[in-house]
Amino acid sequence: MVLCWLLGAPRARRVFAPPNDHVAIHRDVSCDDRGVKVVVNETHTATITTTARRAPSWVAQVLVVAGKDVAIELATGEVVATSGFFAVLVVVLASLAFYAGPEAPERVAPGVIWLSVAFAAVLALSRAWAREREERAFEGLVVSPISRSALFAGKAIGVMAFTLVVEAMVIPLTALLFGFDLVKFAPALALFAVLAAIGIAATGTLFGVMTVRTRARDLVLAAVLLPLLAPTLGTAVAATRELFGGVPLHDLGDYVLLLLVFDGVFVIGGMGLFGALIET
Amino acid sequence: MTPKRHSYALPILIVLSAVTVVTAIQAIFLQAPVESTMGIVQKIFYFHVPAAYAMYLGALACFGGSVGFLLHPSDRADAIAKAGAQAAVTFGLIVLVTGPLWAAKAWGRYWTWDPRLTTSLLSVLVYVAYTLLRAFTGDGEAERKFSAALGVLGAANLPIIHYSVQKWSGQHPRVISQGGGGLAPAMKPSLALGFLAFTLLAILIVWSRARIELAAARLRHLEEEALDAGLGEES
Repeated sequence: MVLCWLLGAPRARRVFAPPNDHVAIHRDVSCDDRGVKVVVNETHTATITTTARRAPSWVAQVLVVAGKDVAIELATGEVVATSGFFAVLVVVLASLAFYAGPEAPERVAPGVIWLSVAFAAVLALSRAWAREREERAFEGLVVSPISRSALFAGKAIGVMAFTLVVEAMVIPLTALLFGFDLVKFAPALALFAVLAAIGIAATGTLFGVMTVRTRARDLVLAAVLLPLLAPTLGTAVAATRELFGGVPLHDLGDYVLLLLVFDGVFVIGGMGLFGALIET
Repeated sequence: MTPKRHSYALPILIVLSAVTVVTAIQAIFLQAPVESTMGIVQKIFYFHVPAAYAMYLGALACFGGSVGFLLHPSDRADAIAKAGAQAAVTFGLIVLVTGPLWAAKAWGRYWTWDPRLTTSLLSVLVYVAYTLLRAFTGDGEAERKFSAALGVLGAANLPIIHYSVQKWSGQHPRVISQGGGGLAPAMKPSLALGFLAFTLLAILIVWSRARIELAAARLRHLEEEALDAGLGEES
């Protein structure tokens, strides 16, 4: 039940149920000389009673949109399976390519983690937005009574969920291949993972919709996203490197702040611009 | 939107830019003294630093045009944004070519992950992405809006990138910023001329590219009108 509520689907049907309509038909009927009934006059009176419904709250709207994406993903598993496996491949190939002896955990592993997350996230985004392109699904979303910012936040939360799953696959695998202490670094890595995922999701949602609204497709999306995300990823790599070098989390406040600032720019920019971008 | 018939501003700017560029080259190579340790390679400095500044002028034009377009969509704002991004890429490439040439002589290697280098590289990449987006997705209303969003977010990122890359790693010479080592007085006029030349060039490039974009937009509108009126065929 809780899951259903979280996924939002039944709730969506209840909230957006059509109003009760009453249609009354009055017919004046007479008979012609062969005894066949003929309708002489027919009036339709339609009374449409629209019960004033409270618009769903902003949070409920966000959950409806995010729930839709999560429900599709739970049913198909496509995005997480393909982009997750792709991320695993990048980690394995990068370990093969960059393994540099005993210093590798500290020097190379941070780059491997965030590079694979970035590539896999762009792939996941492309797929998530390709779904909206099919059967012109996105137009249905745009005409639904959902505020633009809620639409943005809902889609971004869906993408963020995919990115977090990819990160949860990549980080333990990198720990295994490069041999760093996962348990010791877990809290800090989890914090960096969430902060990076917010930035990736917000930027990716803002420009992902470009693949629906314009002729631009996956390659152009990657060309636009990666330069914008480069500072977020660079900060995450630098923070992780310091962490692996033995700096405690409470001394990494500057990096956390920087990640938050980048997240803030992309979330505020995304919320503000999304409405203007999806209007046709 | 009728073009002004008797505007001499652009021809004047062209002549002024040409004269300043020639004067600057003359001052840089014939008047400024040859630096004692770097030798003739130090002359790169007079082009490299003003080009970096001109790149940010282009980025500023792109930002301004993009904000203008998002507030009130118009061909003019879009043309300025597109021209600004193209100027930023052009000057950015000058920076990225002259910088490593300088570095090879001064530091013994072409590239280091110094904050300023990283910032310039990431900025140029954003504007290359902008021009790619414009070149391969068409000139429709939606494409222009997404480009404008990139123009705004890309520029909003620049100051934070600059701060953040300082945090990441830093041997770039601070010659003219605060705390810099300083420049021989005899070199200052040449550098000032370099800055003036690149400022004029940046304005000229943005202006002329924007004029071309505006003319192309006007042509597209005329073609659409002609097609609506039943003249000509859709190719």
